Amino acid sequence: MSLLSSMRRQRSLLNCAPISARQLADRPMRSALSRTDGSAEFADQQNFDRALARLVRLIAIPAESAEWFSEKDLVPASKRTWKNTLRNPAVLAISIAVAVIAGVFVFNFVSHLNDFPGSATARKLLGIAASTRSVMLDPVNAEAGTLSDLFFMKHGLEHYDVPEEFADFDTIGCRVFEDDESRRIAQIWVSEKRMQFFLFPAERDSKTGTVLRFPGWRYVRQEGWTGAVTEHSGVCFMAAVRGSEKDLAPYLTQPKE
Amino acid sequence: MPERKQNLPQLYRFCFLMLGDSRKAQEIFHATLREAAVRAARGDLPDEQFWLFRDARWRCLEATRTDLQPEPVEMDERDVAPGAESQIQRLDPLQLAIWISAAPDPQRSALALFYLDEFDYREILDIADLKLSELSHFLAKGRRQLQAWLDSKFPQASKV
Repeated sequence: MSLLSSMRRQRSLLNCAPISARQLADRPMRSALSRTDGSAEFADQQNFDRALARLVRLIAIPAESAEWFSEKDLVPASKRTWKNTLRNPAVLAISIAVAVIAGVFVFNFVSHLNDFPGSATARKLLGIAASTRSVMLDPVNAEAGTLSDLFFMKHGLEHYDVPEEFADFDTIGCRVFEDDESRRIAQIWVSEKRMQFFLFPAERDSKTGTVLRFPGWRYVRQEGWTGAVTEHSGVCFMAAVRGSEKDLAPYLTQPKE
Repeated sequence: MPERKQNLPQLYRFCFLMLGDSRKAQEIFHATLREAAVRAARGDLPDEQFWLFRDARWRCLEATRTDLQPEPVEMDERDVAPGAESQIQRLDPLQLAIWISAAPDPQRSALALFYLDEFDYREILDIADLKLSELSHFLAKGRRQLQAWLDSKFPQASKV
């Protein structure tokens, strides 16, 4: 903007200078006013305008017209109904965001409702179960219950025992490997429903080192696989199957023979 | 809509300044509010911030369209005098309203809206559909013409 047009604009603003201070919000106007340097011409203009505004305020309101002022609802401000409020794009956007956040919270809450010590590891192992092929395991032809001796003697793993409910199942293969946290995991593949068993160290209290125990069987689900987990002597056992809890429930409730 | 923008006494004063006649001002004022009441009842009050004033302005212009129009004469102009305040104090509001209502529009709207001391200049530009340079010109010219009129009306005061 050239100096001339800038000065012209400033002159224009000063001609429209507010009469009372309550209308000083505009920045260009404040800037123009600050440059008047108390000019007598501008002071005369302001006095002139104020005197006229005072005169305008003296305009009496006829009684007939004044009646309208008492009826406050005659010209109501746009009524802010619930319907209108909900249609407001800002309110709509906030509502959707809150609903999504609430949904995520509920989903997380529900999915962790049945969490137990070791459930995170169990879920990871379900992922491994889904990607494991039988050729990856060492072939073994024995009952699953007998493998605890193999794990102890060959790998030094104590209490890696298959629970009695699954001890009689015929084994196709097994292996011992370390997970990403260097925990030693035993994996057994049995012929029954192509089930897989996992034995892994139970979770421990980070401060005291004591095993975090939980009673009975707990279920975990991951990518179409379901696992039933139990803990015994600091070792967790998980029976994993592709399917739902219904596929595992009969084995867990099956009475000991 | 903020309460200030619905200042009904100011709406009446605006009509009065635009028309220079209390009876006509009341008619326009009542017509505007009746229209507002009907719209409110139908639930379709405009969202525009200054629609009451804009509506009243068009009604005022429409009402005076068929009136006798002043002859287009070149009015005297004088610089605003330091003693103008005392001259204005001797004026009656009706005299001022008659003077403003005799001005051609949009100068009339500009002066009426400005001296209500209700709106800032951007709001006046919005209501009267003016540019800043136009509003500035009308106000400056209006002051000078009014000063000349005051000087002719109260000659002694102008010499102070």
